[in-house]
Formats: sequence, structure tokens, C-alpha cells
Amino acid sequence: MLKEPDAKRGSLLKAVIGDIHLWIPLVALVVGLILLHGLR
Amino acid sequence: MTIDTVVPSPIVLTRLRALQALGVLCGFVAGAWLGGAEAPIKLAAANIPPTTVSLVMVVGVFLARWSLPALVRGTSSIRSDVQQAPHLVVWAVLAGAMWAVANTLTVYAIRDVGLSIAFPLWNANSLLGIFWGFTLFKELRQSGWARWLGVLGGAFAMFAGAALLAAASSTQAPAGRAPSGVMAALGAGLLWGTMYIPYRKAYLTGMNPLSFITFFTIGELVTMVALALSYSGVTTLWRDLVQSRPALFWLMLGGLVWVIGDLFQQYATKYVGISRGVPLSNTNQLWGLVWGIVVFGELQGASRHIYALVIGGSLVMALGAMAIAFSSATGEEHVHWQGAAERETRRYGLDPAYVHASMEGKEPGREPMHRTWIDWLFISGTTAIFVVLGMGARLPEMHINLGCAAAVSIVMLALFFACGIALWRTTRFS
Repeated sequence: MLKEPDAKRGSLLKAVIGDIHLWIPLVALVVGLILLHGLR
Repeated sequence: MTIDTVVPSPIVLTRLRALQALGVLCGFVAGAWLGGAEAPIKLAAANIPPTTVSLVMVVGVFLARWSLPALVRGTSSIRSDVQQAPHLVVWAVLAGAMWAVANTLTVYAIRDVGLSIAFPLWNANSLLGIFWGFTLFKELRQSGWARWLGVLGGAFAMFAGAALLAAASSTQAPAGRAPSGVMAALGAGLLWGTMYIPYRKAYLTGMNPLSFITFFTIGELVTMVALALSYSGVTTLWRDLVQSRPALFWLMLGGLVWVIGDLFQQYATKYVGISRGVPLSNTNQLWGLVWGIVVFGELQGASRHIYALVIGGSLVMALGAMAIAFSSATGEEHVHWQGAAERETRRYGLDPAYVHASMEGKEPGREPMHRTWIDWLFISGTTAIFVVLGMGARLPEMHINLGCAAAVSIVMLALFFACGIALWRTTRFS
């Protein structure tokens, strides 16, 4: 069983990963990096 | 779930109006400083590689972003913000990484298609900001057709004005490599427009803009160093930096001025949302043009057609900005904002009192601001770096009207102090 601070950190991480607001900017960042790589 | 079930205590209407007016003022001042950031960059040599230009600017941004919060509130307040909403550090770092990539893309875009095409393309980010604001953060809900028309019509008018201004201001645009330049500009617009998701998320939840930008810079600097090293390698990058020595001060000064503009943009985002704050700060192009025409003597001897484009574009852009400024969020729309904030509060287990107070520009229970020796170390260290680089800086041989430069700088400083005082009086920089 996880200690309380670990459990809190775990649930926070889960909330962050499951948040669509994280994935939209991440996808945009990956697109930007691919574009930049292609422009070199 | 209906909105009524998630609505916390309603914000007093007069307070709401004061915050909206403050947000609009911040948006306009952001435009002035973001536009002014182009001036020092213009003084830097044109033959520096794009990634090196971006890296040096980011170093200036990094130094300014650590020392400005230290100067304004002390870094101890950052710790307390992070304790309240630790998850926001992820979004701040992500936003910083996005900014770094977008900024590098703009350097390629200007190189390949010139400012005339590149600037309006990436300034279309405000339209994307409106889209994300509406879909993800419940902005412009129940705001009425007049406000929709004001915001959307204003953003389109600004886009049209930007296109006219850019066409006029870049008669020397380079030719060739058009598809890659257009792609780079669109990519920068996509990244900047989407970067406002982290911005809005942070401020809806209650993080202070001064704290957010501190972590933002870490993502920015790490990304830029990684890009510069992977593209150039250590030896080449070092050689470029040494060769760029006389230009380093101007590039870093550009970063510093940009930070001040961005800080006001962050406050605008916090108090009027991304659908209004982003277009307002896009008035930076007007200020860039003021610097170009009155300080650097651009457009001298230009045809009447070019001047007509400049005057027409400026008027259209100013009208668009005014339309947005007069389309502040209504009480009904603000209830939806609170609904979005309530969603974040539940998802991340935040203290509702902290979130609600922050939306009202207040910070209850916060320890009084104080600066420690670490703060003074940041401030004096940054000042020393700028002084040393400034001593080695050289003005390039180009037309510069120093009197006009001083006059425009004084106007910018007046706006800075007026808005800074308004922020302090209304929110204590919350």
C-alpha cells in the first residue's frame, strides 16, 4: 500500500496524464519540432 | 452537470468590471512592449544563424524572467504558488518549450518569405486562441451576438490590418523558398496559438503570472539549448557565439523587453481570457511599425501606395483592437469561466478558496512579500551581465534616429508604469 504523499503524487500524475489540455499542446509541440527538423 | 451546480459565490460585478478594464489595459501595454522587442533585435547582425539568435534571446528572457519576479514580489511567493497548484509546473515548462520552437520557426519564416507574409500568418494565432478559449475554457459563452461580433470581427479586422501593414513594411522581402517559409510561419502560429492553453489553464486555476513565467523559462531554455546543440554542435555554437559578441547585448535586450511585454500579456490572459487578451497584445505589430518608421527610417521615399497601406492597415488594426476592448465578458460569461475553474479545482484537488480568490485578483492568506538574499543575487547578477555585455556592444552602421528612439522608449516606460501601478492597486500583482 502506498504512503499518503506517494498516493497523492500518484493521483496527481494520473490527473495530469488524463488531461486533454496536456495532449493538445504536446501534439502541437511535436508537429513544431518535426517542422523545424525539416527546415534545417 | 448544469452550470448552476458548479457555480461558487458570484464575483461582485464592479470588481469584475475593474479586472476586465485592467486586463484590456495589460493587453495594449503588452502590444507596446512586444512590438518594442523587435527594435534591439534589429540592431543585431543579420548573419547570425537562426538557432543562435533564438538561443541568445532565450538567455536574455531567462535572466529577465528570474530577476523580474524577484524584483517585484520576491521568489518566496513562487514556492507558495507551487505548493497550491504543483501540476501547473508541467504546463509552464511545456509552454516554454512551445515558445522556443515557435520563436525559432519565425526566424526561418522571415528568412524564407519575409516579414510581409510571415507576420500575418503567425499572428493568426489569435484566431486559434479564440477557438481554444471557447472550446476548452468556456469563454464567450452566453456573451451575446454583439460581443461575439466584437471579438471575432475584431480579430479578423486585426488579421486584415496586419496583412496590410506587413505588406507595406517589408518591401525588401527576400524571395524564394516560399513553401517552407509559409509552413514555418503557420507552424509558429499553431504553436503560439496553442501555447495559450497552458496560459489560460494556469490563470484559471489561480497561479500567479510571475510564478508561471519562472517555470516557463526552464522549458524554454532547456529546449533552446538542446535545439542549438543538436543543430550546430558545441564547437560551432561556441564559435557563432564568439563571433556574435557585439550583437549579444542587443539580442538579450530584445529578450528582456519581450519578457516585460509577455508579463503584461499573461496578466491580460488572466483577467480577460485568451479570446480577448491574445488579439489585444497582437497590436505589437503597430508598435513594431512605429519603431521601424520613426526610429529606423524605414519607408523613406516610399510611394503613396505604400503609405496608404500603412495608414489603412493601422486604422483597420486599431479598430479591430478597439472592438475587442469594448467586448468585455459579461456577468453571465464569467459564470461559465467559474465553471471551468471549478472543473480544474475538482480534477486537481485544489483549494476552492485559493482558486476563487485568485479569479478576483486577490491572494488571501499569503505571507507578506519579502525579498531574500537570493532575490538580490538574481537582480544584481542579471544587471551585471547586461552591463558587461552592454560595454562590448556596438551600434551597427545604419540609420537610427536616437531622439525618436528616446521618445518612443519614454512612451513605453510611461505605459509600463501606468499599467504596473494599476496592477498593484487593483490586484497587488496577483
